[in-house]
Amino acid sequence: MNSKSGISLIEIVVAIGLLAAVLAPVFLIFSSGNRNMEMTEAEFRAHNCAIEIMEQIISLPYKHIKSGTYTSSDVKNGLNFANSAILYKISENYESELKVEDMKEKGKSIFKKVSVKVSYQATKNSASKRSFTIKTMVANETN
Amino acid sequence: MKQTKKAFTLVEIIVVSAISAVFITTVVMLLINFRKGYSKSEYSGILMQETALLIAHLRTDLNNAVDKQIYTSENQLMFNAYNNSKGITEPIVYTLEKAPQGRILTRKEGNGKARTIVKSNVASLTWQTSLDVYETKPVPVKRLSIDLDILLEAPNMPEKSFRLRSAIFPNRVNKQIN
Repeated sequence: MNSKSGISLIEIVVAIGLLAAVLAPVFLIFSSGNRNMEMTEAEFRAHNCAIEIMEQIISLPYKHIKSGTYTSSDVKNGLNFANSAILYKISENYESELKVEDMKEKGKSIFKKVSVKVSYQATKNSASKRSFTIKTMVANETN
Repeated sequence: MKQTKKAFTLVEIIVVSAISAVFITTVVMLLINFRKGYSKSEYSGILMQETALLIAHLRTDLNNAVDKQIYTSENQLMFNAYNNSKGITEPIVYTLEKAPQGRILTRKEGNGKARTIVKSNVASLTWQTSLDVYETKPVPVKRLSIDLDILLEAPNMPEKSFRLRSAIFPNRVNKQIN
């Protein structure tokens, strides 16, 4: 008969296993904090890029804001906007799409709807891309 | 055959210490990795927020700028802007000032008090105005822009930094000059 029983191997293994299971989520929380920070930065930079593209289009005279859809290969620093002499000025490279639509009333363009879509990588290691779109309207003030 | 005291066998002890060694190593490695990541991101959040605040201020102010005279020097950016809430035009001045921990950036509106926008060390900041003229028909299009290059550093820790490059196209001014 055992009068003094010690801790058996099985018990120790189970204890360590439990401890590991409890600690794992704690470490996951820490690493998710870092990942969120990285994601915020990526989003901030992409957002900044989108505003930059939008601002330069809406600051043009109304008749030079030419309607159309411009894909990522058109919207690059130094390229021409809508085949005109006006050039894009973009500080950071992102995959972006620009769309300008006419809003007409009685055959006359009264508004232009400008939307910019920017795609970005959320974190350095993730393969999936995120994107967001910002939109605004420009009024025809010439008449 | 009576066993009164049961002890661990050598095999048991070896197995347990091997398991705990693996476990402890994993935990310590995780901790070290976490410390590394934490100290890296500790300031990047603050610096990012300050950059975001600065660029948001500059965007709003410059979009309300009504005078094409935008004065820039190494330490100052000055222009007249329309204040929506007051309904008047007043000068807005951004100044880089020396502080014990490096350089800070302040913003002054009209006759108000200068308020600090960036508290961290502004390691380098360029605000270059440029006027591009495009040969469009029938009249050339002019476009004024302010190119920004901001580099913020954590005080006394130059290895922690945040850099942003961008351009601002003041809306009202661009409508005026065309």
